[in-house]
Amino acid sequence: MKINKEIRRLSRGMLRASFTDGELDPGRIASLVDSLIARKPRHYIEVLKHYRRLLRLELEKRRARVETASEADSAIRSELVANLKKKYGSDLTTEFVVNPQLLGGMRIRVGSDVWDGTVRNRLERLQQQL
Amino acid sequence: MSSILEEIETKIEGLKTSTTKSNVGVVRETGDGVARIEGLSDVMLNEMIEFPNGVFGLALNLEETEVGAILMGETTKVSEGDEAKTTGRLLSVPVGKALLGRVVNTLGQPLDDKGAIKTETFYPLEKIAPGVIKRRSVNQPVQTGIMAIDAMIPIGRGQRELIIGDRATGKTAIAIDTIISQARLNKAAEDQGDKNYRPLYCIYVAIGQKNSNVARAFAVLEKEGAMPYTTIISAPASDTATNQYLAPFAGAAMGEWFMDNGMDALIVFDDLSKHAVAYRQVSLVLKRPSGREAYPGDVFYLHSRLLERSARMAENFGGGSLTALPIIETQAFPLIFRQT
Repeated sequence: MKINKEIRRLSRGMLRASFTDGELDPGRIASLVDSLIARKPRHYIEVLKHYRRLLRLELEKRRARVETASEADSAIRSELVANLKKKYGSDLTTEFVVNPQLLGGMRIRVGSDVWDGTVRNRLERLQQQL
Repeated sequence: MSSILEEIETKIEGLKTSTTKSNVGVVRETGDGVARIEGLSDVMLNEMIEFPNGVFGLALNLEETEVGAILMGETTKVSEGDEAKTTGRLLSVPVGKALLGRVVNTLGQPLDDKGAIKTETFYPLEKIAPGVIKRRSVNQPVQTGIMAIDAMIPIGRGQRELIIGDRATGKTAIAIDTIISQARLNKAAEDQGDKNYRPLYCIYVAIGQKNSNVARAFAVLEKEGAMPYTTIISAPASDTATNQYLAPFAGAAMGEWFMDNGMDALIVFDDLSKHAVAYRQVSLVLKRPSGREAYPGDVFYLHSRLLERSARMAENFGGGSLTALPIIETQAFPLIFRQT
């Protein structure tokens, strides 16, 4: 899909307006979308689509995904959440996933940063090096 | 036997404690040898990106939410949803004397069934050309062996001289003759034990040519005994546009090694018009804005930064040199069409 400059500018402006105090504000987002739909400017559907994509990327930056091989106990979880919040800001949401394929250890992904301490990753690197 | 076991053990020990931090993105779109990746917030321009299955890419476009990367190797192995990782490395090729006598591809991998190339040094493809202080003026001739050229328009070591003309006018022949002439001079000096003669090593970069043409050039050089002083880099027409685009830079990197180590080298780019076409293709699939005849705006910069890397180094910087002979094919109308 070709996105023209106008669409890009408008959706970026909407994204900039959807923050209060550096955090995404659902109320503002809803009102922005409503007002756009009410005004119906040119290409407003494309603007909304692009805005949705920008929002999704923005949300991904504030979402931590913790993968463990087995269920992590609650003490570790709460410590992890606290540490991640200290590093990435208080509006970080954390999601825990159990993935037995990792064999052991933990893999944390926040936005595009990944910390990989899983056994599988180490085995793969060992395989590469040998 | 036990030493091997110990070695493996220490390697495992070394890996045990490490948790790696990396920067990843997700492939959103792929095709035509190009991938668009979402994420990768820490990627740098021209950085290598690692895909699953051992495929590597080169980040060429850094956009607001996406990264456009050109793929090397088996591009069909990359699919949508794959995780791509930054590596923090620049694309580099093996350099050194082990490459002499070999036919290699853009990445320096052998194509001639003569076994692996053992080198310890790697040079990045893109390098900033030596500046004013490091250079000196050209002061030693390159004997092309063609009397008309050597008498009327002699070229020197560290010079760059364009060979331009229509198709089938003998541009490649001049370049091949020059390479053969260098090999003869090198051999003669070697036989006489002349320590003062500086041998001139040659690199022939074939971009977008027919494989048969490359094979013919190789056969001629082999027959004339020029191969021991020559490296052929082959990115034929069947190769990906990425490899054709990178081939001259790989050649320049290999030539620079000779220059940096106080030796002399000659590099032939055959030909840069096909290189520009490969770069045009890469740029168009990356959706870069295009200019006249759809060539991207930076095609001039592409060639000037490539040729600027040939230099004659000053005495206190090793005194090496890299001579470049770029070839350009002009597109004149064939006579048959002109008459109508």
